[in-house]
Amino acid sequence: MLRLVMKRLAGALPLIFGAAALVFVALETAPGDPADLLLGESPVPPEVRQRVERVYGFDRPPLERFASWTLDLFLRGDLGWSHSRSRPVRTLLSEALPATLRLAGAALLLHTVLGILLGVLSAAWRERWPDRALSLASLLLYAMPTFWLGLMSILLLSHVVPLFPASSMSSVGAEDWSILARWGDALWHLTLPALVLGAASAAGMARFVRAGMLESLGQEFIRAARARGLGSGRLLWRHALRNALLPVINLVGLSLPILVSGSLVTEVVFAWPGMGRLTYDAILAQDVSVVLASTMLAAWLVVAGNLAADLAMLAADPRIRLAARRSGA
Amino acid sequence: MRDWRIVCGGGFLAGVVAFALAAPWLALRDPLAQPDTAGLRELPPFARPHAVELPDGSVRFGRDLRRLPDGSIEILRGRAWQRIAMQDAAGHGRPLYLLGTDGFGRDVLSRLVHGARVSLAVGALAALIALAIGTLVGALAGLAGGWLDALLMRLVDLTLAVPRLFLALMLVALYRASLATTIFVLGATTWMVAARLVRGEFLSLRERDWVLAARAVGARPLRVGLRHVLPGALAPVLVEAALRVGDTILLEAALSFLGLGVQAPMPSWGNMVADGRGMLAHAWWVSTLPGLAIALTVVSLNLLADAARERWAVRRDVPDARASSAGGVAPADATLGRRARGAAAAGTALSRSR
Repeated sequence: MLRLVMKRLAGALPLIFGAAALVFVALETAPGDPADLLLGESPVPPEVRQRVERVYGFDRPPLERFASWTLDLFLRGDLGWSHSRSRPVRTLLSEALPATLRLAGAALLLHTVLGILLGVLSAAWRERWPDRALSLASLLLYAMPTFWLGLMSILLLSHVVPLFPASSMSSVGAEDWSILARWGDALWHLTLPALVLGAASAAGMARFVRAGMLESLGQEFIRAARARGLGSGRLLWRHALRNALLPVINLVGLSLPILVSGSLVTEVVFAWPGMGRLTYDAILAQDVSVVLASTMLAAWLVVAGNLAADLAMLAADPRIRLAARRSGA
Repeated sequence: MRDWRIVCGGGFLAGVVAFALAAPWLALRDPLAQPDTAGLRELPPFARPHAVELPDGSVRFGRDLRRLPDGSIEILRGRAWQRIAMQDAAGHGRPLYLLGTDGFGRDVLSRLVHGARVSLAVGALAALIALAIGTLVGALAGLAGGWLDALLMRLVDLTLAVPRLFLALMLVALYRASLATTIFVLGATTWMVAARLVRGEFLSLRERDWVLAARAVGARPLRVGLRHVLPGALAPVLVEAALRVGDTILLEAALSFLGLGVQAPMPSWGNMVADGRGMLAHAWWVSTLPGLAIALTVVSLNLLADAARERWAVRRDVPDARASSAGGVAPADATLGRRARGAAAAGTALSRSR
């Protein structure tokens, strides 16, 4: 088990650095010059420009900068300096990451629970109107742009019927409230963005679960269970779902990075101070170190999601455990 | 034949395309014109503002114009209402704004139709680029095999590991947002699924008898690829094309919404939604309508792809765990874990055969 994890992580390193290198090359070959953005529109004397370039290291050759960035990361755990926000990248990330994790975590929960629930229900009612309605709804949700869904939810649930706040993570002055009030306030602010992010992707999940359920309902052990006189509820939720759950576990692991990057637009719409907004601002400011760091983090999440899915499958299915042991992992 | 998906999806799509193509010949207002920003801004759908032509030849509309009970017309000059004599002002009728106007007093209907031209063209061209790159890479990998295959597939993995919206945003931001950049970047960041698909088809097709026969006769690899394998891979590629166009329209909308796609005065469905963001509470139609157009178009494309997939018996491999328009779609097994997944597949195959 441990060997499997170690092997995976070691195998993932080239991928993550490849992704970072890809980003670095893209940023480097671009025509714009970050010094221009720092110095502004009006002309400055060449000495000033030189100093700025020296201080931020823009004058060093690209390869050297990438190498030193990588070395700093490995030897000192240093992610570099954000020249657009004048703060260490590590501080910026440690501020933004919890916000994104809160949003993506809530969305992932909704995505999974709602997806499984709707998927099982539509498999149970297959080809009848609830199934049809659900599949149409999931197609619609798939087709709606997330930012538009966000705006519509703000329009309906924040303006027309003022139930939820339209933006930010907490109310003004909430720091002084009691802990219970603060939690309630945070949950209240979380509802709309998590719903938008989670519901949209739950639609795809529901379709996936439905397909798995239909397949597993067609198998003989279900017929056998039915012959033994098992109630349809138990049959559906215990027997069929357990069999269909395996690929679902896999999909949940794979959804993790998708939700994190999907939260970029949601964060912009709801003024949520997370990684997505940070990256978006950094891209606009050509702040290489921030973009590199957040890209690496996203790539790590892809790897971690995969790994988590594999481990969960390993735990859930003895057949895979056996195969893994045989292949010597 | 009477498949409702083809009738509804195809019908709507044909309608949108027809309107988009015919836009210059339809009696639409200029999508960029702001004839009277003060008088026309944020008019709701079905609005019929009063229009009056002043002696100096200028036309004034609605908001700063009112008709008194005695039939005389007053106009807002600065802060004061001023009566104008009817003989001075020629009535200009009450033009109909079917879908209202936006914050600059521009006609939403006209912008929607012209936006369709932009959004559809961007979607179709970018999807074409993505398919071309994807088909090329996939065919090369599938035909060549060996180290080239491994290298190309690692490149696919690598590109999939960077969230697509990040990548697209970055490229557009760096290479100055414009129509051409948007199209190119969207194409260059979405070819990976097609590459995998084509490679898979090629791998399964190249062992077929007719390909073997062609090779035995001595046809060169290029000819084998183009004449004997590619046509067999056409059906899944076409299905992928329909899905890709929809996806690209969504991604373009997200980019334009973030201000990095199609640039300001030119209408695209994405930047129209962005335009209405600030006036959501009092002018809902500005954001709502273009978003609805995006959603319905993408639904139509998906319905068509679904119907085609069923008809041509194209199997659906990777679960499309698409995130959202936000676009971070890294379709599935982007990285590692292939072994366990293979084992899982073997497991299900096992249980199925029993």
